[in-house]
Amino acid sequence: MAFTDLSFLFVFLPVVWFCYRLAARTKFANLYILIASLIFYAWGGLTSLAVLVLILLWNYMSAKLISSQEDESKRRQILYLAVGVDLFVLFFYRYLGVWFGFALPSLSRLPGLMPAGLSFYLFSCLSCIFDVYREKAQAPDSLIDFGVYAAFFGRVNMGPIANYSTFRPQLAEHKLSRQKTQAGMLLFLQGLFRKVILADNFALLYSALAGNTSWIGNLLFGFAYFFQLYFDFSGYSRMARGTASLFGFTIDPNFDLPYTADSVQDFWRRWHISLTSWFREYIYIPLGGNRVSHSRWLMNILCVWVLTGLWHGATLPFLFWGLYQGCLILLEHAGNRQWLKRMPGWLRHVYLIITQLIGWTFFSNSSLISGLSQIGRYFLIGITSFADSAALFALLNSLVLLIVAIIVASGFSKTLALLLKAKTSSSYGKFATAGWVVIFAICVSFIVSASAQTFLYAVF
Amino acid sequence: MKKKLKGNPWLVPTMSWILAGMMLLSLLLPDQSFSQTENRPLARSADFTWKSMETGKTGKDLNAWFSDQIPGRNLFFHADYLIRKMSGQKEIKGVYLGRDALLSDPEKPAGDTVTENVNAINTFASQSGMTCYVLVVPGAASIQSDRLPFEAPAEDVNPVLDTIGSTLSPAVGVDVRQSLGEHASEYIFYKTDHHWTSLGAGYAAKTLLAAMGIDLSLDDFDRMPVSHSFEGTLASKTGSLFLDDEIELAVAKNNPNYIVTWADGSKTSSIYHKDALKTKDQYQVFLSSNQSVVRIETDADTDRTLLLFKDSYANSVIQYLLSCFSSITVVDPRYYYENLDMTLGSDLFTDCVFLYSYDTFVTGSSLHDVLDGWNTEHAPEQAQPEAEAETQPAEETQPETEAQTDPQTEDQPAQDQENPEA
Repeated sequence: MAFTDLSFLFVFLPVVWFCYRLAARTKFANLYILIASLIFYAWGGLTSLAVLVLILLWNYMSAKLISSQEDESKRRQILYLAVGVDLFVLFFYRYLGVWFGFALPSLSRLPGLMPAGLSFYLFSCLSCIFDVYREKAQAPDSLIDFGVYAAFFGRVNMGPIANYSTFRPQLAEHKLSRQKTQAGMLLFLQGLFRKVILADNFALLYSALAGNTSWIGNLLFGFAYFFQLYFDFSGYSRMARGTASLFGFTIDPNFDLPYTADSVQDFWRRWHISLTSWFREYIYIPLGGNRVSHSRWLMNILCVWVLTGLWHGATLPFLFWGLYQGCLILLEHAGNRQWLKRMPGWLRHVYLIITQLIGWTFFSNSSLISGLSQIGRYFLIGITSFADSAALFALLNSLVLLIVAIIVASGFSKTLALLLKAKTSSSYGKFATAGWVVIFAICVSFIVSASAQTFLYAVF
Repeated sequence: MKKKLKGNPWLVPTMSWILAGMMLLSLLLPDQSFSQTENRPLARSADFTWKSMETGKTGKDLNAWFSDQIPGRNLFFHADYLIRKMSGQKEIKGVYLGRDALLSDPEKPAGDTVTENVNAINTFASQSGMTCYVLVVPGAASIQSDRLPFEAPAEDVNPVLDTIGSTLSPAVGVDVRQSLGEHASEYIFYKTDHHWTSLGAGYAAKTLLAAMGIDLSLDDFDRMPVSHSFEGTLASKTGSLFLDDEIELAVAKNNPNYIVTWADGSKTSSIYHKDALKTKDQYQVFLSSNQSVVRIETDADTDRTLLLFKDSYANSVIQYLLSCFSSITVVDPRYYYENLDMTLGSDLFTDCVFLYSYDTFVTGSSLHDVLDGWNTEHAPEQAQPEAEAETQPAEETQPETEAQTDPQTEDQPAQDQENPEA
C-alpha cells in the first residue's frame, strides 16, 4: 500500500488513526501500531511480509544477544553475524541479480522480487544493532517495540531511516497531543501535495520529453527529473513524518530545502538527511572521520560515497554518481574552501544547481554513455536544434508547474504563507484550512484520473 | 515561525470529517458496475486466493476496487480536467485540448507493422486476383491541424502514409488527405471522439468510390441528426466538460433495401443500431458493436460485390456503399478468429477494400495475421491443383474467374492515374 492509494487515504489511515485514539490510552498502543503496520505491509504480498517478519525477529534476537553478552569477543561475533546476514539479504535481493545475472539468468528476477522498503528498514535495524553493540542505547524492551521502531507503517516503505538511539525513548512514550496532531496533518497534506501535484506531473513531463535532443527539450528533461526526484522523495518523507506525528511520534526532517544549498557539502546536509546521518555515524566516523591522515581521510570520504552510490542502486551509473558526489566534496575542501567562499552567493547557488543537475543525470540514466550524452546536450554538444515544437509545447504546458515548483523548492512558499497570515490575522486558520481542503481535493482528483484504466471503447 | 504556521485549530477537525465522511460514504453506497464517464467496467471485487495474497495481487485488486468505487469518482475525474485546463495544460494523456475540440495524437508505428500489413495486402491482392483498394485514414490532428494547440508536437503521419502509398502494388492506395483537407473547416471529425463524422466518412467514401470507378454524390443522401449528446472516447479519456457532439446518419434518398446478417447469425433490415444512442457508445449506432463478420445483401442494380476489411472507421462509411454493391461482406480482423476461407466460401468478390484508421493500421497486427494465414494456404508454390480442386473448388478457380470477370481489371491503369500521390 502506498500513501497515495485511495484505499490508504480513505480507509486505512482514518480507520487506524481514529481507533488509535482509543488504543493510545492502553498498554496495547504499540501492539496496535505493529499489527496495523503488518497489515499495511501485507498489502504488498505475504512473501514480502514474511521477509520483513524474519528480519525483525533476527535483528531483535541479535540485539538482545549482544546486550546480554559481557564478553567483548562474543559480542563482536554476534555483531558480525547479525550485520553479515542483514547485508547478505540486501545483497541477495538487490545486487546478486544485477551483478551475476549474466551467469545465471534466473538471478535477474531477484531485484524485481525485492520486498518494498528493504534497504530502508534494514538500515534501521542495523542502526539498532550498532547502537546496542556500542552501548549507546539499550536493546529494545520487546519485539513489539522493535517492530514499531523498524516497521512502523509510516516509514517502512521509504524511510526516513530511523536512528535507534534517538528514537528509542519514543517507543516507551509517544503521547498524542493537539500540537502533534495539527503538525502531523499539515505535514501529511504538504507531502501529498508535493507527491501528487508536483512530482507526478514532473514524471509526466519527464516521459513526454524522453529522447528529445533539442537544447531546451533536453534541459527541461533534466530539470523534470531534478524536481520529480526531490518532490517525490521529500513528499513521501513529509507524509511519513506527518503520519508518525498523528500517532504521537516525532521524526526529524529528512529534507531541508536542499536546492537552496550553496555547496555540495551543504546540499548533503539537507538532502536525505537520515541516510547521510546513517553513513556518517556508522561508516565515516568508525573509519576515523577526519581525525586521520589526509590520505586516509580521502579514502574515508570516497568509501562513504561509493557505498552511498551503491545503496541507491547496483549499476555503474549509481556507483559513478556516488564517486562524483564524493569528488565534488573533496574538490570543495581543496584550498580550505577559499575558492568557494570567494564566489558571490548567487554563483554558489548556480554552481550547486548545475552540479546536482549533472549528478541526477547520471542517476536517472541506465548507462553512463546515455548519461554523458545528455550532459553534453546541456552544454550544446550533440543537440539537434535550440528548441523544437515538442520542447516548446512541453515548456508552455508546464509553465505553472515549474513556477510552483520553484516557489516550493526555494522555500518562498513559507514566506507567502507568513505574508498571508499577517494579512488575514485571526482568520488565517480558516483560510489555510480552506486552501488545504482544495489542495486535498485536487490531489484526489489527480489520483482518481491517473487510476483511469484502459477504455473498452478505445479499441472500437 | 514554524510553530505559528502549524497552529491551525481548524485543519484537523475539517480533515477528520472529510476522511470519515468519505470512508462512510464508500462503505454505505452500493458498488457501481460500469462508469459511463470513463466508459469502462469498474472493479467490484478482489482475488483472495493464496497465490494472489502471496504476490500482492490481492492488495492491488483492493486498491483498484476502492479507487473505482470512490464516492464522487466522476466529479473528481472532471475536476482533474478542469484544473489541468485552467493551469494552462494543453494535453492530457496524449489528447490535445485543441480549439473547440479534443484531438488524439496519432500513434507511432509499431515495429514493422506497417511493412507487414502492406506486404500481406499486396500478397493477398496478387493471390486472390481481386482489385484491392487500401484507404488509411489520418485522424483529426493531421487533417484539422489548425485546431491543435500552439506548437503541439503531433506525430506527422505524412511520411508513413506516403510510404504506404508507394509500396502498395498490386493493391491500390486511395489517399483521402486532399479530399478531407479541402473540407477541414467542416464538421468532419467528432470533437470528443477519435472517429470521423458521417460527413467526413462521406467525403472519403466519394474519393474511394471514384477510385473504384463509381460516382457518388453526397446530395443523394439525407443527413439525419439522431443525437446531440454524444461524448466519445476522447471525452472519456480526459474527463472533458462542456464539449459534446452531434451524430448524423447519411440515409440514401433512394431508400435501398438490404438485409444485414450479423456475426451471431441474426438478421435485420438496417445497418443502424439505434439502441446504441441510449448508451455511452453512441458511435455504435453505425453497424453496432464490434462484429467479426457482417454480410449485407442489397437490392442494388449491380453485379459488383465487395469484401471489406476494416476497423471501426469503416462503420460510418458503409452507409454510403449500400447502393453501389449487391453484397458487402465486412470483416473486422481484430475480432476475427476463423479461417478466412470459411468466410469467403464460394462467394466471388469483384472488389476488395481495406479501410483503416491510421492508428490501427500502423499498430495493429490482426490484419496481417488473418491475411498471412490465407496467403500461406494459397501460396502458388504450395498449391496442389488436383488435391485443392477437390477440397476448395471455389477458391482454386476464383483468381482466374475474377481476372476474367472483374470489370475493374481494365480500369486499373486509370485508377492509378487518379491517385498519383498514392
